[in-house]
Amino acid sequence: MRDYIIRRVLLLIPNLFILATLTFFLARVLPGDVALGLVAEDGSVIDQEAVQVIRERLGLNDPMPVQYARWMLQLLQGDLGKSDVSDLSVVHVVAETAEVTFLLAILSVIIGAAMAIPFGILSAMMRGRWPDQVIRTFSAVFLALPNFWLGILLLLALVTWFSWSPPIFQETFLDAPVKQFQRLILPAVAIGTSFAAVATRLTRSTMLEVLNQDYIRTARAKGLFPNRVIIRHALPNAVLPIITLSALLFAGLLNGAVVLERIFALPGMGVEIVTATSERDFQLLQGLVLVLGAFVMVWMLLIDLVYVALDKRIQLE
Amino acid sequence: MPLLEIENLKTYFYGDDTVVKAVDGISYNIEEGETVALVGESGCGKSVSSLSILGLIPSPPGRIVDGEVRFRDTDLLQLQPSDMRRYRSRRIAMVFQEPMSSLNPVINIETQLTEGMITQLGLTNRQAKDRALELLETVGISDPERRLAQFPHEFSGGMRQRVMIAIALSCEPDLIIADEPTTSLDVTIQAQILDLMQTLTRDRGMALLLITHNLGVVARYVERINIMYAGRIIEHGSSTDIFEKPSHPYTVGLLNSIPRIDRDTRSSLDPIPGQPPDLAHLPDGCHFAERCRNRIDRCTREYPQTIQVEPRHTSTCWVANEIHSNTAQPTPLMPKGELKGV
Amino acid sequence: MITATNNPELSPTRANRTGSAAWRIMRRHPTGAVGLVITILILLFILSAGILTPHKYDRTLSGKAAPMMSRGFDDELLVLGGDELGRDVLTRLQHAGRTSFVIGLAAPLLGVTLGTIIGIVSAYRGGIVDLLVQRVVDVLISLPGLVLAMAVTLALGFSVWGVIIALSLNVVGGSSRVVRSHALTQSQLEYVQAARALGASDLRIIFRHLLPNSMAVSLVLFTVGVGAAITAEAGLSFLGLGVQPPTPSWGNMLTFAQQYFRFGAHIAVIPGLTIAIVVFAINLVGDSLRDVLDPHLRGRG
Ligand SMILES: Nc1ncnc2c1ncn2[C@@H]1O[C@H](COP(=O)(O)OP(=O)(O)OP(=O)(O)O)[C@@H](O)[C@H]1O
Ligand code: SF4
Ligand SMILES: [Mg+2]
Repeated sequence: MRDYIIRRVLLLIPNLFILATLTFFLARVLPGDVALGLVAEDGSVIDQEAVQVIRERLGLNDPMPVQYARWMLQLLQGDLGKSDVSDLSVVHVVAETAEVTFLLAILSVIIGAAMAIPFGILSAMMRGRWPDQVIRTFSAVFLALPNFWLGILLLLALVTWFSWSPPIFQETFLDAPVKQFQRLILPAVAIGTSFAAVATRLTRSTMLEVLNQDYIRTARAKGLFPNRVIIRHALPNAVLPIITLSALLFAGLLNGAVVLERIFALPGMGVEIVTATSERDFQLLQGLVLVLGAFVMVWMLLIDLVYVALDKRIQLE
Repeated sequence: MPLLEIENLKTYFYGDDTVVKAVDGISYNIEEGETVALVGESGCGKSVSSLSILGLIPSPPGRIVDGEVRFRDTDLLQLQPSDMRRYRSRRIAMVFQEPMSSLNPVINIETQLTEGMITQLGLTNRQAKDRALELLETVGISDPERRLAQFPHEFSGGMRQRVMIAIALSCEPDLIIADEPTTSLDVTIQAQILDLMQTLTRDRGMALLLITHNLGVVARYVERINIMYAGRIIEHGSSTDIFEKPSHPYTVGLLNSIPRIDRDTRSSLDPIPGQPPDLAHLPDGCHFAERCRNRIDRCTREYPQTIQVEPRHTSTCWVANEIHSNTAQPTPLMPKGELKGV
Repeated sequence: MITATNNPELSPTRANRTGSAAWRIMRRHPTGAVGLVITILILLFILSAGILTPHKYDRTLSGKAAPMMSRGFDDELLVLGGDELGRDVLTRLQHAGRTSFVIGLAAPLLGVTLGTIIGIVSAYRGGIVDLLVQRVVDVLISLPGLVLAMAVTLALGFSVWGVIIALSLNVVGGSSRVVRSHALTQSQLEYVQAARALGASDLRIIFRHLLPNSMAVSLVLFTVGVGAAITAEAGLSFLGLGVQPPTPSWGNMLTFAQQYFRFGAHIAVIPGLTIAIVVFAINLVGDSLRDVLDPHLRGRG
């Protein structure tokens, strides 16, 4: 058990190293660089000299290995650098944008799980009968709807029928929780429904698996009431895998919400990454991708470890 | 009047385009306080037949298509689920085949042992716990106070089976069905568990249905034996009759494959050749025909009739009488001493 | 438990029995059959682009966002209306479908193939190779998929091929992980060990034993990937990074329509709905395929 944890944590080191390397090259495969954008922005004819000055300042003229070494050294010192465009520190940008992205993902998971878990359980218990058919059909339909399209439709409906548009503001969640909630609820519903479509199936199949176990037969043979068999014997065994799966899907949501952030004009990390990409703001792009990727990696590791720690059956081995 | 009377029970599993006739018209009975064995090779339908008694067949795909299961004159198959519930563990309790997976891994032993008593006997938590402590002691688990708080993964296989037995005893049923209670345990522990079950049921006047694929194991414990093959019972008789005057080629085959010290060691063991038939595609005629040494022409055409070879001894075979008179030789086959480990 | 031997779906079917086996599978999985039929119908619809099309896909025939069943300038019938530039939506759907389907099929094909090879080699070689390969896979899985795709399309230009390669990368990590764990159990099986002991070469073991045995898993992964790729293409388009006009794709139809919503919702609803129907149909096929091929689900009680 302890060895397992140590091993897994140690593997994070090469993983982070590869992640940092990959983000570096991901930025460098982009055609052009920030300088072209900076100069052209003023509307002036591209001035080779100005371009060179900027490139020199940002170190873009150095050979690739030198740039790579610089990036790695910088990371080793715990420094994510500054945006090439705005000169703001990357950490600052991450801090500003992460809130929206994370809140959106959390809200989506809550909405999704609130639908998926009861429906999935019901579906499993009613297996083959009409409630199961209905739930499965719905989940298949929502699985097929692109969530951004759902978002567009929702937005459209509200705009045309209620002339409502998502509020735009700068305050953080703590300053203005209600406003933040209003702005996030629609995209969260859109993402949450897609999430629920997947999670319902997972819940159902997990629950079915549990209901097939020998100990459920034992419980029934004792002459317990059916409710007790489900609630006391089946559910506790299904909860852990369901939560684990949801937590793993949560990581996917962090990465997948870019388009929705864009549609609803949310200042999140996804949109920031798109902007940084189009402006060839290498430092910012690398920083954002690195932070997101590292978070997902650590998160998945944590889920794994928690699962191992909680599951009594695994502990035995 | 028998305690339990099963008549023409049929339980089928419906696949997409096949029907598995796991249990195909079996009949037998168990008297009050009696110990009876149901013996047959793996996959012949023993578990399915016993699960059918308590309505525990997974459905779909399983369905009881015919028959009666009379428990003191009540046909259990006609009961509503809520009434059937009252019979489970209160009247008929089960000990399952797989001790490792039959206990819920996330619930402690106390709850798993007491919940049946609370539901079925209306005991308070306190009373149930006191009884649980007694029961653990009875089944030979020491330090019951500490054990109650533990979880299944803290018990060995043998210990878990003891817990299962305690659960089965807990509501004072009239009948305990033990479905291969020892198959997955060490040989030494097997004997301990069987002895324990025998003593406990005998002391309490409970009937015991012992299911096994190993005829040798049950020899010492049971009064009557039903031999099952491919979903049907093919021979029935007292323990002595079955061992001394087996009247069905399959039973003879089973007996020949048991290692015994009381028999001439030079006659080597010979297991029955071949495989039992696929329950989804049963042959016409006798199900055992393909593997049978005594086969006659008729066997592959017609399913044999059940022949009474002695007053309480039947065999479903066309040549039952011949086999009977052949085996009913003066040499005693019934094991008198210890069985060799099986 | 239904064992492998008495399951007709698994026993090796001779060529002349393949047809009847397919028919049996269809009967057992009616939803899969429905999905297959819808998919085939849509494919026919798409393949008839340019042959059985009412109009030219790039010609303006009417005013902005003409409603469904309306008439164009020259009295042409626009069954599904006109788009933001007055082009026939029906015709465009047909043409766009080609792009979307080519991407939808090619991206997972490429990605799953790569993933399968990586997964099998990683599982079979084990040791340091496995350790290193799995680190890269870890990273691929935790990287934001769209970001990866964005960078690659920008690097390769906005061609259909650029998008295919970009989207295939998203599939490689996940599918190699799945195939690897499957191949790991396979390579511990006796027959592989036996083949090894008999001195079969690595390549032979991989091609004769491991690869054929992973085909079922890969096929399911591929089917799941088709729907995902079609959706992802639309997502990329939405960010302005997908297939660029004038080549139509369902994704970019949706994207450009968005600004003209107020003139007529149909120009955004129709491509979105089309994507949804296609993905739905393909998912149905995928689910049935999984039922047939996944040994865990087979013979469930
Ligand atoms: N849930 C199920 N679905 C389909 N078929 C089943 C199911 N359960 C049992 N069967 C079939 O019923 C037959 C009898 O099974 P059963 O479990 O009763 O055998 P058994 O005699 O108890 O064997 P064992 O000694 O291995 O426990 C088997 O051949 C099996 O194929
Ligand atoms: S009926 Fe025939 S085949 Fe069947 S057991 Fe008797 S002799 Fe053998
Ligand atoms: Mg059994």
